[in-house]
Amino acid sequence: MSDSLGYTIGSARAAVDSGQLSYERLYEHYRNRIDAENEKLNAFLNTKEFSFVPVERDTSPLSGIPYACKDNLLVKGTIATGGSRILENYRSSFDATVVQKLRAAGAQLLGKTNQDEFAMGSSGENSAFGPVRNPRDLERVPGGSSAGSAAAVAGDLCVFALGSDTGGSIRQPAALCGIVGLKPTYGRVSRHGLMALASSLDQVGPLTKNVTDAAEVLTVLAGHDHLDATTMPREVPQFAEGLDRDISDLTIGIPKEYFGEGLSDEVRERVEQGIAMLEKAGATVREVSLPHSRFALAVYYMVLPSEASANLARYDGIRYGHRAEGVDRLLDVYTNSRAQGFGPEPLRRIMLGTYALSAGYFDAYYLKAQKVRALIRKDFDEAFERVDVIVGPTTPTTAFKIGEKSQDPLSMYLSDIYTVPVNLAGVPALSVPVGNGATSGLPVGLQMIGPMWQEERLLRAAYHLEQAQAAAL
Amino acid sequence: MLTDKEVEHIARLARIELNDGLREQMKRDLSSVLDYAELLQQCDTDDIEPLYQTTGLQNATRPDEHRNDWPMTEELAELLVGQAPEEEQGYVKTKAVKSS
Repeated sequence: MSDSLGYTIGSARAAVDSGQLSYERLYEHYRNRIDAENEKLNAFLNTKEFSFVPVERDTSPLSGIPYACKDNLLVKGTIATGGSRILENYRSSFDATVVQKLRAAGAQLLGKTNQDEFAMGSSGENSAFGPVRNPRDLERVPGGSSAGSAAAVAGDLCVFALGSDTGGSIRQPAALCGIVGLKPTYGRVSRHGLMALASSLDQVGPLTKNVTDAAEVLTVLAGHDHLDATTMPREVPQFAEGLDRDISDLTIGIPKEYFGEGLSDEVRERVEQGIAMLEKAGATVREVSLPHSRFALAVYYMVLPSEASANLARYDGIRYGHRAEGVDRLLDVYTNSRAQGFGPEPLRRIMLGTYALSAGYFDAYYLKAQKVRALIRKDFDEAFERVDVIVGPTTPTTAFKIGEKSQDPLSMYLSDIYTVPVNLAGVPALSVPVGNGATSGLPVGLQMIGPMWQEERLLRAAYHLEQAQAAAL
Repeated sequence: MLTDKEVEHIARLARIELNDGLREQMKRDLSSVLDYAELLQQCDTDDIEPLYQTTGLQNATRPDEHRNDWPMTEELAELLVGQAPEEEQGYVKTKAVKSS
């Protein structure tokens, strides 16, 4: 599986250690890959501002490894658009903490990747710079909002990539593209330098070709940051250590609510096969219930727009970004800059959030949603008293065609039905490939959800599932 | 279905200029999502405290030693003010806040 996806961190390191190629040559290799493939995928927005930085000595497993970074993360001195026209010419005035950490580890930034505008979307079609295409089928979406990052990894235009996940934006594209995507526990990785979408939901995480790589990258990204007061002062384990440790200590919970209506047969089949493999590998499997699951999407589409409307208020044409011309009053500068600069999805969500927070509606919409959110979190806490990991599908279907859902916002939102509860609860989750759907031949992702701070057991279970599939080939 | 007046009010609060076409589209799209959100009324939340954040962190403070991590240098000032669409002598320039 990893072979057809090109270099992993492990195989790249092996190639360099054996003298096959240098770090510089490895970087060049990926430059060439991007030159050859990016036009048809539209995964990268900006590569010309980035170049190889010589590594003095190996400071980490990521030394010399080329990666791609979602365009909503700031890299000082370079353009960061967040996928939006409103920031088309915005030059980052500081580095995101995660970018600084990767630089210190010697990782090599190839470029910034395309995304749904301000991370709002589940397909990559909401980018102001054209849609991203799925490397597995160019007529189909790679998923979103970390569309470019997923396409870059799946299309072997980089070794790994960074994305952000607010309602599934790392996991869903990972599933649709057949790669690994991990959303850390909220508070595990710093959001400093990430363009804020929903401050209580956003997390930065890795998209990789295998589970070990996700563990390696997470180890570098994670940690308390004094520039992000929502990060937890908590020691960071070496996540890649002990991945092969036996999983007979794990009980897997299968939520009955995640296997009901709306789940396509081909996804169900592969996910059930994945669960059977986990059982064969020694895990115990039992049914659990997450009774408030059916409210999660409604909660999310009240909470997210509300928080987003506050976070996107800064894009007013004053200090940075697009400023409307030919208007006289300051108020018109605001209203026109925003109407001109934002695409339809941000406009929609800002309006929705503004309404939900407005006087007279706050109680019925925002406050109500945050109360139901508490119940969704309680469902997970109670389930995790009985099981160690919760497993289900990452998405209801495999990759849909470009244009198929873009006309009906609500149908697009339904792609996130299994991923949003995770962000609402704050718990960690990852998506791991479980083969191709029998009908479509397209990638299927299996989602693993863990209790707060337990990425280790998710990675271990995912590693075993990955190994079991490799053994079965 | 939201009324024109309601949509205009929201647009005003959100500082977004809506043309006729956009207003119609917003009416439809917002109404559709708000209708879906009615589902939440079926959930009993009596005596439930809202969950605003999931880490449980409170009063996260930062020690004073970090205060000087980001000194305001000329370079930083240029990077910041330099991003403004209009600037003058190192200040961000905008339309007058109070018009006569």
